[in-house]
Amino acid sequence: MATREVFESRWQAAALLLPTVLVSVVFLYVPAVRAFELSLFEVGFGTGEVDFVGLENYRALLTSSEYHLSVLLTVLFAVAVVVGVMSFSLLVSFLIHEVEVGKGLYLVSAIWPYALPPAVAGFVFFFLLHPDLGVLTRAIEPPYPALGLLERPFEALGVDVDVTGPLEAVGPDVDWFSSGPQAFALVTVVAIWKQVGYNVIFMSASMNNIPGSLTETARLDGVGRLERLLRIYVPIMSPTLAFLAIMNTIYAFFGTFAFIDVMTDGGPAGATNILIFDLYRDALQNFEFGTASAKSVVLFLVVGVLMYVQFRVTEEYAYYGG
Amino acid sequence: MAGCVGGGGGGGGSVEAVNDELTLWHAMGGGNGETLNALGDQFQEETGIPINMEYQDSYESVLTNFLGALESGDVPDFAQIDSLFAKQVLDTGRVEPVEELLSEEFPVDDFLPNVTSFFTVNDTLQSLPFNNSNAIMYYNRTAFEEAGLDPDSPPETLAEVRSASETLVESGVVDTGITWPNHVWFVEHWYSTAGQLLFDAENGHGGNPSTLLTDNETARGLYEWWRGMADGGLFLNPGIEAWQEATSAFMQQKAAMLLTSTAFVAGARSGAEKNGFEVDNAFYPTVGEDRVGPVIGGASFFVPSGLPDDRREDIGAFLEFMASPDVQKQWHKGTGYYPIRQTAVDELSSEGWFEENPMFRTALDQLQASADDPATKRMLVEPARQSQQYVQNTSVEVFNGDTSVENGLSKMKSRVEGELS
Repeated sequence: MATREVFESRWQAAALLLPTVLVSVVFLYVPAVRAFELSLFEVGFGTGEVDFVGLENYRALLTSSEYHLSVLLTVLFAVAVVVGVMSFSLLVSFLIHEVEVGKGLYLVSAIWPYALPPAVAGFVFFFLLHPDLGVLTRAIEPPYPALGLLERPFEALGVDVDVTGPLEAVGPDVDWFSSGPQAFALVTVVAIWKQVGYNVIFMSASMNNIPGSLTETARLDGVGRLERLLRIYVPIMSPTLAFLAIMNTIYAFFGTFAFIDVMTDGGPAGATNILIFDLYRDALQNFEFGTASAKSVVLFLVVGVLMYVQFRVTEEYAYYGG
Repeated sequence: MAGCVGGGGGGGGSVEAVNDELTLWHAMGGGNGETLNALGDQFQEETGIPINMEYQDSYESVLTNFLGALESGDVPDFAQIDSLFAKQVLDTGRVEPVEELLSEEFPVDDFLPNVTSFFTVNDTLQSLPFNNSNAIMYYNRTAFEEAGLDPDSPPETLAEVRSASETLVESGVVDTGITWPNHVWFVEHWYSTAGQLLFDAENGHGGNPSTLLTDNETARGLYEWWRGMADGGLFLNPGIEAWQEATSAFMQQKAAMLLTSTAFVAGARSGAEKNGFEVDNAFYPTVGEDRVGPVIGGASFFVPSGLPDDRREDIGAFLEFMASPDVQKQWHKGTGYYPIRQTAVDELSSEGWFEENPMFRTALDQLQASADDPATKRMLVEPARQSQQYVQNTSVEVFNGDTSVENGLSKMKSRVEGELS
């Protein structure tokens, strides 16, 4: 590919690039270097004390079982969010693609949650599913008086059928203030719900670009719906899907902070203490800037390695045409 | 040693006020915030000294902003710091003891000794106690009556809280017996009422503590009980530091008892009326039979060192104004925080205020009945926020049954020790 000369003068190009470079340097590169530097110190807040400790902060992280748990949780959380978001969004996009009537309405409804700020979404779910005060909690927890309606027809026939009893016996006790797994499940579901809209936009656009003739041929050959989606559409959509996998990973690591902060505060007992929240708390609540900086460097490395792997995998498998 | 005071000297560099007017950073929202602002206006009218009352959202934010201000040198004149974080601010070495700002004539010995003892370090009053409280038990008289309990003799011990809760839940009057926010302050109260220190070195008042004291009957008794209450569905867990949620669960009559600050008295009265039940309050329930005394809660005003002398005079005038009996009475009536001056207490008594409003009396009685015991001095430790979080988080593991009481307590201890070392 030949290099394209868009600008006649180099100065003009430099001038146009300057704002972006400046913002990146001031708000990204300098702080990143500073964070690495700080991670080698123990820093007091308000006291002006700064002690060089070398790699001590990193050593402490290597031996902290709580931090290991946090890393493990974050990876689990990211995998669950990325897989959950993408498979659900793919299904939704496919259904919207296939439906004949009301396509626009469905599309808007699917995208809507994306327009909500994360903190607001967090509060909405906090109150919907609050263990004691939540509106949805009452519906999820036994007893289920509405189920009695199902038994009515049987009663009329004189047959004794008990639907309510067994279901009430297994009905969950919503208590994510105390139960770690419930809290983890909740923030995962909310994080997925919030990101579906973003994925549907891209997936729908990509799906609509698939030539109609291809769909038609598949139909004529008697290819089933699910098979058409997985065997034909998905490979064609692979560049979009690769892009989304990367965006969703970044989202899971960094963009989900608000849900944790608003809903669980990393708890109960550290069950939702993902890396980004953990380091926020260390820096801005505990004022341990050295440790927090070391954690942010580790987070940067983890995400960096993941990005690299994803790019490599994408190069290998994504279909860019030609 | 006198040497920490002095304009601009020392290692911190020069200090400058953020505004020309006096500036106070506080964490009082809602009705309490309005009462505080009214006091600021009153001071301005009486003295002609302008003052800005700047709301910073929460105690945590005031702390963050104040430490940041001390670091940068652009400081407010006053910061309302939660007693839990006192040590962190004192350790900066960049605050001036308020005792040095009060005039010679100021009657320092009129302060309630139980209040000032916490804020006095090295025999000097370091910060001005202002909004102070302890935790008491509120209960729903109507629910007690309906369940066949005597509303005039509320539970006094944890065992009695349990049996009352069982009766209340069994009779179907409420869903659960009791609720309180999962905050370290309540654990501190259970320790202090039992006369048990929470940290060695006299809770940090006699040197630097090295451990959390969990190998004792108080800790085991408390957590066995807590776990049993959760297990039996008698305790409603509103969440960590969930003050608002605990209160609303009590107001919606999901729990018949609530442990919270005395600063909730005014709110409890109006809230109960709105929800159609009769509310009352009582002393904090104790782990065993002993009742030594509560720890202090609430906040005090810290002043940065290094401000010019004419400004320090104005600062002193404001501190004296806030500590005056009239202001203390007004503040107490508006909020439920107890007055910190004996004169104010005496005047309120002779005006008949406590007879008309017995709920306002409880916390003060609880404070004044308190023995002079090191256990009633609240923890004064540098990693307060971390210790607080470890205690709270591990409490969840214990009452939720994720770990045994014994394991949970030793985990709590070693986690806090890790922060103290």
